[in-house]
Amino acid sequence: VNAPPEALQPFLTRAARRLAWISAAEGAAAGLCVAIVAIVVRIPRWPPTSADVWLGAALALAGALVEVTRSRGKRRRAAYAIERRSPDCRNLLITAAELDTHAVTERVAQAVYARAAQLIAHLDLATLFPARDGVAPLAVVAAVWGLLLGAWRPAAEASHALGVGDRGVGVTRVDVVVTPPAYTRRSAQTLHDPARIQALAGSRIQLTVRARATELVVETLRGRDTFGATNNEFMADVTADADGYVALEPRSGANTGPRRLIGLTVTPDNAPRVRITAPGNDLRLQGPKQSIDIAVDAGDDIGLASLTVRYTKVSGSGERFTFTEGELPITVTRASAQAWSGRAHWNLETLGLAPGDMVVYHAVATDHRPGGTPSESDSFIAEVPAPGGNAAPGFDVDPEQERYAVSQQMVILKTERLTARKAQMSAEDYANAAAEIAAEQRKVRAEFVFMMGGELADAPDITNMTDINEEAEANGEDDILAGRNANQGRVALLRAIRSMSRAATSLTTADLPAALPHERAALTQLERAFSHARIILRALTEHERLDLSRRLTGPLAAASPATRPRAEAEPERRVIELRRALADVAALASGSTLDGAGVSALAERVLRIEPSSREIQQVADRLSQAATELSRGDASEARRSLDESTRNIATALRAKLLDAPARVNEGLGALNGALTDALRRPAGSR
Amino acid sequence: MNTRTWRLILRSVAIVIAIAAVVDPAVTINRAAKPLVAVVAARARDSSLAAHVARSLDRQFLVVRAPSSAADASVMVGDALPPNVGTLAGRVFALFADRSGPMVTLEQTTAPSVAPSIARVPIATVAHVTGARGRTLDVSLRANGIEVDHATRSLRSDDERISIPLLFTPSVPGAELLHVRASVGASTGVADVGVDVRDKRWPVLVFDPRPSWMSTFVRRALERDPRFAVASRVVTSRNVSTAAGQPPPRLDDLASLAPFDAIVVGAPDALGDRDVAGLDAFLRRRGGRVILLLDRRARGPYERLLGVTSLTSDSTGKTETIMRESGADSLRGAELAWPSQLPPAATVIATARARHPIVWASHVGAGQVIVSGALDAWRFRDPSVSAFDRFWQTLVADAADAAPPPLAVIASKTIALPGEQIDVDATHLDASLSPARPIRASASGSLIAGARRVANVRLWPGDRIGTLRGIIRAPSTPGFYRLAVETNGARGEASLIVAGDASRATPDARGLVRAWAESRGGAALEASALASLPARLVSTIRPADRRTIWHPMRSAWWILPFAFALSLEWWLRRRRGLL
Repeated sequence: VNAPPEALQPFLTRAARRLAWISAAEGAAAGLCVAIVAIVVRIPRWPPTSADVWLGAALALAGALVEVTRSRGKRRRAAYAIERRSPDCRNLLITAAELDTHAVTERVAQAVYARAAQLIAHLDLATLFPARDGVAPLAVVAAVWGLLLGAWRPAAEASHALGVGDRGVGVTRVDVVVTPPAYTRRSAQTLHDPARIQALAGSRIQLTVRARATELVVETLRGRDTFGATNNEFMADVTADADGYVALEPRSGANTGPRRLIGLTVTPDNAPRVRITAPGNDLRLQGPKQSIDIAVDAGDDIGLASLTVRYTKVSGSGERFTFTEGELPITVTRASAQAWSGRAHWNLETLGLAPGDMVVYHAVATDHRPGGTPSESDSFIAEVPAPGGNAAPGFDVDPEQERYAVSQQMVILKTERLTARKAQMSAEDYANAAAEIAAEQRKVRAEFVFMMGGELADAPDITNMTDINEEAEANGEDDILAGRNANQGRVALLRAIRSMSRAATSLTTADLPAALPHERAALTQLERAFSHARIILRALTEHERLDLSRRLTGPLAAASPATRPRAEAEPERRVIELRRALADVAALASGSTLDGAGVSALAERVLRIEPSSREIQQVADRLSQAATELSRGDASEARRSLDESTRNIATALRAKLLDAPARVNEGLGALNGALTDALRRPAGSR
Repeated sequence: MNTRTWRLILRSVAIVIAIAAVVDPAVTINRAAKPLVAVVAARARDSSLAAHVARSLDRQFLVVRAPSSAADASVMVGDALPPNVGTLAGRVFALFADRSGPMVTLEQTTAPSVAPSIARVPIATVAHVTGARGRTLDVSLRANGIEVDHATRSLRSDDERISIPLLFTPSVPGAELLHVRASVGASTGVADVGVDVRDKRWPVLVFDPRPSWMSTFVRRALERDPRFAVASRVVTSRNVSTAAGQPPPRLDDLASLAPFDAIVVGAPDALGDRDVAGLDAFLRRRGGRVILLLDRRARGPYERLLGVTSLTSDSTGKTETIMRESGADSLRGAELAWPSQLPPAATVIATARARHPIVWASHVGAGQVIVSGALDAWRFRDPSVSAFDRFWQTLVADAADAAPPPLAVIASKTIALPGEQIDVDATHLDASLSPARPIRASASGSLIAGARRVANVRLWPGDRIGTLRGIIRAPSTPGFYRLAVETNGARGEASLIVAGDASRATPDARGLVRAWAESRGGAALEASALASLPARLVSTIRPADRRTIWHPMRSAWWILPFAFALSLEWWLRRRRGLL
């Protein structure tokens, strides 16, 4: 038997296996080539996603399988492949491999096999079939593929620069730098592709937009502006002054790309908060030489600038009030820029208080906001009672009313001061200052109107309490003249209010000489009224009652029916807009394909409903997200976002609506009625 | 016997068999037979289990897969009674579907068939979940393919019934098909519900025979609600009144009151006899709702409408909260009045402390009177402590919605499968409540899709006066339809949604099935106990001889003796040398 040498078959098998691996690597490289083409074709329009990674892997695997299958014949004839790579074999390996299928003499067979065995010993498969044949193309192609996936954005931009990407106008990247106002000393914040920008009021928002477009329209609630590209970037500045949005619309010639909607939440710089924590109440001092320990707490959302305690010493009484203003030195402890506290040990002896005098003090805190109004704490009073001024319990004068008198005296004092400064002031400043005193006068008046149990008719607009209802007051004047108000304290108060009204009118026209007598008359009337304090207090707690005995006592002929149109309320604008948004979402979702531009436009419209509403912002954010997902081609995620935005709209809407009635069984109701009628009938007639 | 004799005998046997086969004689005999068992699936989804049951019984019993009056026993398969349960004969057994693993079934999904567009529509959902302790039940409500509400509940036991209130917020008028889907893991229950959203306002009349704060503030609450069209009249003096819209001058004319669904009466103690008679007619002939807002205790003709003998009052001045029995709305009041004894069949709407009925309702004919004894509730309108506006808006809306329309059309199903049978009931209000007889009416009914008439509905007089009844088949084309009926100038409509994949809630009727089976001498078994079913059937079915007709010659075995006789006879002849 002519048996081939033992080493021949394993050698050929190893060669076939090596060929298979090389084929697989070549196939995988070919598959990745297809994946690269797929990505390149879509470059201008789509960013690569995880699907692209999976697609590449699948194509590589498929290519490897195909190539391994294709190389099956070649591997079967491994000897041929070896002979091709090593011509020195001179057909000996092929002959040895096929010798067992031919009839040859034993001598020839032995000679061939012996020569073949010698040949195999000298052949190196790694040299004949180097791994680099498969690995090199695979590595190169894989590197290109990975580069495309990882560095897609530069490639997309390059494609735009080369004019390849003109078919898809769109925003590719948005960089936002939010620079808070300088006084906050906060650092700028950088955001990339944000769905919402949160900024402090007054912040500068710098937008750097990369887009495949020739111009970019930036729209906010304030208006819209068009920007041109500089180095393929669009730069825009927006000032954060109110909640709203920033909509970016790329344009290239007649083509308009999908709008990018970025919500804008503006956080206002709140005024500082300040309060006096100790003693925290009005004090009746035992004598003028007492001391008060004062503690003050202040806070601010950004940072405090100052904290002081100011006081006004009030001495005298009635027309003889004198006021001395001053500032109390305090020790300030700064726990942080946002939280300060202050303490002071106030020796009142230095003020030289006499019995009957008082000091009114309050704390003032400011922050760094330019033009910001200082915040004031509640004012507290420390009073040195006059001899005999401490009335018995139950006959005590309400200290609040004493304060009102002080307020009216302050109005007089300010009027006098302004009159004195008139020569040094411009006419405009003088008129403004007079108007401020007029406003203060109206506030004092409004306090008394409400103290008298006044109704809204006396203050027609709750938001503008300082307006004077002259007509109502004139009517009231008649009552006073007619002597219907037997209560003298009440009459005095009403007259004081009248005088305050006249003073306010004169102050409004900057006629201070005319206003001053009315102010003083008001103070006189207040002093009179307070002498009847006990009576006033009782009278004020009673509501006005209708005099039913006077009902139907007028001439009937003068009475006539009145008719007005039928009342049919319209839903609130917010409800109407939200319902419309709900219908639009439904219309968008019911289509076979979702329209990204439509979803984006809807997000913008929803945000316009109430830009500062948190729930509206959430709805708009979800809709914007849906639009972004649609632009990425991720329809299922977009539907999920649409679902969520719909639920949010419905939730916002429900808060304003009532439940629909549950339907009742009409037949049951009729039966119930018949039963009730039967039961109500007397027993004999049933 | 010799060979010849044998040959004759054999030949004769063969001939006799052949003749008998041609004659095919029939014989009537009594003999024991396999019991007949009917296996019936309750629902289509139970068919596979029913087939399995039939196979397991097939060896011992003659099984038929439909109800049979001749059956010795019947087996119902599934968790519900089959539609033809009345035709099941013999002992009845029930076999419940296996409940191994999480399983969720929507047992109830109910919604108002008609809802105003400016409202939220509550969808009451009850899900029955088994085998899912510690897992989470997800329930979603979808309209137009979008999820409009979603709820989740943690399951604490392996057999739990959970009520999940869902809310649908309509955006546009029109019929709406809502899909409720409940799922626990891979198990899912689905049910559809239809709501006819209508852009309508309830016409309400507010009538004050004298100015009343209570009525004034209730009226203002209604005037702020876009669901109402409020007409009002406040009589301020003799022949002097303030009106909004076109309210009737008095309450004694039914024709002028008929357009309103509800009448809110302030200061009812100032009503005259004629006004009270007019309200009584409005209640009985129109079926309307009357809301009496008492603001003081005073006697008057209005007491005839209350149906109570006396009112008890509490004027201690202590403020109390008045809670509505259904819902969370509440009032506050210090002066309260309530009936010493409620009228017969009255309903309590709101109670104060000590469960005194402060707001109650009683039927008068087809209508309903609602009485409020919260005399000074108008004083407490601060929204932070009292839902005054909401209370009255909801109460008056419920009342007005319950008032029957001039022509009510009700379809037995709001969602139907193509070709499904639907009963249509129409009630002509005037005819049904009028005492005048005879009543002549001409009616026409049609099924409309958009503006196109799809089919006519044949209507027949119903079982009550003023009612009509018809039967239609749902169109084969899915879509939104309207059933329109016109009678004597009145028109009524009901919506019909035809959906090819419509599903309905399937109440779990295991208790009912078990009771039915036991009442028929059988028992209810779980599917896991299927192996014991044949034994139970055998033990309950009494074996009986069955009188049957037997055709003996139809047996194939006759071929053997026939062939044997002929062969043997032929062999004998050949032995004798004969041909």
